[in-house]
Amino acid sequence: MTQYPHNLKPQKSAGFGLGLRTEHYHPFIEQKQPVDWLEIISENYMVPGGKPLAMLDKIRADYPMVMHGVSLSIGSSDGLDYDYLDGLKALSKRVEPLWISDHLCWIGVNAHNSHDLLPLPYDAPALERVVENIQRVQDYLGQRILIENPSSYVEFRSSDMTEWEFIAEMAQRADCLLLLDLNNIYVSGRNHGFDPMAYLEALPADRVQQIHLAGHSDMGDYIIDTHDAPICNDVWELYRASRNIVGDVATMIERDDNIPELPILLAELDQARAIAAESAVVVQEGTNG
Amino acid sequence: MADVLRDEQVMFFDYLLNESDRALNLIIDDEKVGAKQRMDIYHNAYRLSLKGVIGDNYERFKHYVGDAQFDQFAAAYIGEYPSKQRNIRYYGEHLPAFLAKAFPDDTYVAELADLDWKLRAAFDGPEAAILDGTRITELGERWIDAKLRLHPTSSFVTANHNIVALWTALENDQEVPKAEKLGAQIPILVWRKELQPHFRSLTSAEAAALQYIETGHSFSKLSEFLMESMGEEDALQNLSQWLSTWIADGLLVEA
Repeated sequence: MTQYPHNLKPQKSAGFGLGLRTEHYHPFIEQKQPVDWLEIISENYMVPGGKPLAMLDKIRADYPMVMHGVSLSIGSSDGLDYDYLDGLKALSKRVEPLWISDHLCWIGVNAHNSHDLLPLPYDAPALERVVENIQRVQDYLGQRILIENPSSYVEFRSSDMTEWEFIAEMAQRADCLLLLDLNNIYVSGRNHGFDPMAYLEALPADRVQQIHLAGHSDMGDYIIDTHDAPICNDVWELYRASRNIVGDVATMIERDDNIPELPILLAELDQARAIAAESAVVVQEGTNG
Repeated sequence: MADVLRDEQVMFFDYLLNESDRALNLIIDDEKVGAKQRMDIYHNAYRLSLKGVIGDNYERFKHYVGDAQFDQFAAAYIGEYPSKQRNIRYYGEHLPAFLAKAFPDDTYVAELADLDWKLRAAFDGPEAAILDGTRITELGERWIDAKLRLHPTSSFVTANHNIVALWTALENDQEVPKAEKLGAQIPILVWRKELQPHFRSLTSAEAAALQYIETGHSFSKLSEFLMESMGEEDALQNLSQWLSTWIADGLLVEA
């Protein structure tokens, strides 16, 4: 297993970003928008050519990017797909991203694919598989990757640890970084009845390199992680709390459906900036006092 | 050693495909939502995402048949073809063949879908340096013996029906004409010019010429081929007209 530099996180956060969506190509090309970086869905650009790659190159010239995948299938019992990893590596060479991330999930079995982020049991066999796969991916890409906590709707009978215990153990054993999705913690907390704060406090804060904020659909008895609505107050409060736990971490808003005009998302991102600024003041006051 | 994780994943996936009850035993049941409803969230999401991408890849076909019929076609297709693609972008490749088999009396539906799929493939298909005026000048006299190919996004659709009229009306939100069988089969060329997918109808002679080039022949070989098949006068007349169109359309690349 490759040894990576001791410093897990950059000294300074990369700032505030948005997920790049086709609906916003033109505003990003036409004028410089107030975002520090953009996150792309890697698979959208793992195509041979044409407009997606042309737009990518054009926008990349003006904005730093991070790559966020949905098909790595780090919990797959099929093993890793090296054709996919080749494509990811080639895209990474083109984009030169700040970092590469994917999800704690599996996407299919027996070469069939769900195109969904399917949940894992939180037990020893799954942990062993995930750790082994992360180490192989990191060795292949020559860098640490970020793994995102999932939103889920089921709990496995075979689970014998909490999700946060699993993630903490995974991050330490695989020596990977974390992408903390606060909406996912909220969604899964509501779906499974756990306290999001207990989750946040148990994570290895020094490994959290990025935060996702997003909206969801509240179905009453459960919540679905739809990314099609503004961020709810409870998730904003979690974000406020997270600043005191994981510190100044690069933050972005993830909107995948019902995508509004760019200024609406930029205003939502300003809300994140304001919360971050408030928590910075509190920390400073605390330090001075 | 038994692979417990694999067994669980096989069972879980079987629920996505077939709602097999075995997976429910893996999940903690509860009174508030219940194991079945929880698993159904995944079962439904699987179908919804595949239906969504079929709709993206077959936009005019979806528009033509309407939402209700599209939902039925998509559900039947998803049932028959579980996704084997890593990237969801490529799901749905068998839909034209599926429709042709399902509707042998209305094959225009499959032809329309075929045109959609090939246009979508051209949209993000491979790049290639095109043979343009500058490159021909660079090559000088050698150019006529340079082995050629069509741009890698090129493909052909065979139309037995007025699908060009159907597709164009759907694209422009105009009144869609009645589907009709054509007097004779028409080849349609699909390719990408700059960033935009294009298509146009061909005569059978031009289609034959383009397919000859696609097998890696040079312009001089094509000239010989055409002179043999249509006589010198027609060959020269067609060639000069075709060549300027092909070059302007960015259709030719060096093999």
